[in-house]
Amino acid sequence: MAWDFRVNGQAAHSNAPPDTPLLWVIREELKLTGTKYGCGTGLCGACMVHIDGQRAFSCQTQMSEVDGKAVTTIEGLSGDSSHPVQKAWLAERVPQCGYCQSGQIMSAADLLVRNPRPDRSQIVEHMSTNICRCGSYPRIIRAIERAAKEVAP
Amino acid sequence: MTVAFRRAEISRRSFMIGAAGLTFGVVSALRFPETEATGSAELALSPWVTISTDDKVAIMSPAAEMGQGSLTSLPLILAEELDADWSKVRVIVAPPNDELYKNPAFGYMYTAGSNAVTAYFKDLRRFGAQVRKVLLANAAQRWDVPVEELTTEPNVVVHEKSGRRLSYGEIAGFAQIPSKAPEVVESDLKRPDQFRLIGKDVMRVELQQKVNGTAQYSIDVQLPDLLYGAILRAPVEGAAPDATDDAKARSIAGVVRIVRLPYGVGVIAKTPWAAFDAKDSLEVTWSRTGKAWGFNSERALIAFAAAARDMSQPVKLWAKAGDATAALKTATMVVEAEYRNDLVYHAQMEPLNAVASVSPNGDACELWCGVQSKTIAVTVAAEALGISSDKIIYHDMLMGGGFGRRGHRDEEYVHDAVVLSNAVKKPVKMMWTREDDVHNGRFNPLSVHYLRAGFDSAGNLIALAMK
Repeated sequence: MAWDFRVNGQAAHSNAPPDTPLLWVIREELKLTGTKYGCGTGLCGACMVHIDGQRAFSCQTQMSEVDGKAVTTIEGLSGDSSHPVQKAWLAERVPQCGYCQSGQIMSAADLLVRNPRPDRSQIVEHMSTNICRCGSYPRIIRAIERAAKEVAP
Repeated sequence: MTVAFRRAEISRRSFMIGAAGLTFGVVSALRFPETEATGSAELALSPWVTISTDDKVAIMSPAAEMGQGSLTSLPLILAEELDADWSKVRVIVAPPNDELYKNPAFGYMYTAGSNAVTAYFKDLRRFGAQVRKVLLANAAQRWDVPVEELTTEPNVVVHEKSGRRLSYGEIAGFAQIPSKAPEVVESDLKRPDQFRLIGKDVMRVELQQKVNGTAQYSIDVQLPDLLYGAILRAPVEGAAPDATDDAKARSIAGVVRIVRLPYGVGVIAKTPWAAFDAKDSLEVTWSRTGKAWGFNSERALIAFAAAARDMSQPVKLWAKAGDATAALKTATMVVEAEYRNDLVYHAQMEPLNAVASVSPNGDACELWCGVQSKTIAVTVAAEALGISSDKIIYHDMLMGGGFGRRGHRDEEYVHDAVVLSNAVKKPVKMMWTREDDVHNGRFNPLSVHYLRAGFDSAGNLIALAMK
């Protein structure tokens, strides 16, 4: 089988078997390693990407579902770390080990598209798809609140 | 300020033990490609500090970065006493070398126990102050003035009397390195109120990379002709594969090799999904060797609790002050509590993995891994191949969490990568799945703590016994 799709605005192609997780194609074929493998079962959120403008666990998305779709990874969120969420992440010094943070940022960016003025409980609810072993949650919430002020002042 | 994760090339010409009993002297060939590109020269003033004539200061960072920030905080301590301009500092990840970069609390390069800053603090201040003294001495000689008349501002030596200034980079252009490390006494060091960097909010050097996906963990390594490895390890430690049916695994497209190991069965494939599928389809009968067969942690915890409460059983004293047993008998009130500590998984976000590339004739190996002790990783790889440690080229990678799981003496996931690469003599990215990572976990041990506290009639604590 052959799959044609778009990643970060560019044409992408893969011949991986239909049930191959998009995650591994992104990481090991397209060499976009910012998207992380954490659990492979949709429990940790480290693999979060956007597919046609909606967040999705790339480890739970099979190649057969991706054909013709547009995928955005952390590398495509902005060319220069200038997305409001990325800026807020730095301003709040969110990452520690950093491994989960691509997924966290992709989830947060998805939230602000859908709900530019989320309250704290909406942030917590939306971000419950993503876990952080270092425990950066308080800073994640603060960073999203900060980014929201820039997105919807 | 920038950070270099590329391997620092160090070849030692000579080492001299300084007056303060510290390693000092000349390290040559600490090379940074950017510096070469700009045509500026660089001078290694110690194994820790290299200053280039374009005024850049490279400082070695000796600890492993796993999210705790010591990649930044340790060189910052040295920069403080060197009086370096932090915006001109490049942090270099120190290469595996226990002699030069050991954690003083452990005696080797090992990052654990939350002690990197406290353990390295005094030495790094001294190393920074030593290099500052060398710069001052060189400026004093150049200007023919007493060194006492000189002061420093960030990256600049100043002679206030004459208004003359020399940048550290300018001094690097002519500096002579003394054969003995300058002695540093307490009064040479800054008072805390003079600190420009310590205690200030300084951006961690690798943080930018952690918001745009460019931070490099070993799982991210890409190499030409890279193969993928997976390993089915024994269900309990000490068991071995007796019989392996790998027919199904071999039939999976992309599988390159099945590797029998004393403790499991490895798979090498052209893609990660083929490697994982093949590992999952292995049918292995395990020897009943090893101690943990039939172990039941729930039953063990109950047995531990019974033992903790059974005062007739012999005990080994951990600490004793006074006589709690006697005091408990006189207590008006005794409070009892039992604390049960279950097996706990480390659960670092990045499942354990490593990349190894063994040379065609097996006499050398390149290694990419994130570990809490890089010198252990080098030793593990060298011993697995039966070669000397100097044949291991080590590449330091960030860690997707450590939590103690990457600091064991055998660093077995590094071993896994090396033996798989050795089987094919090609680069192999060996990855444990999350399930493997739990299966091969080295959990926090079970324990039950039984505590008794005695109080007198006024409510004062008079006895505390913990078992």
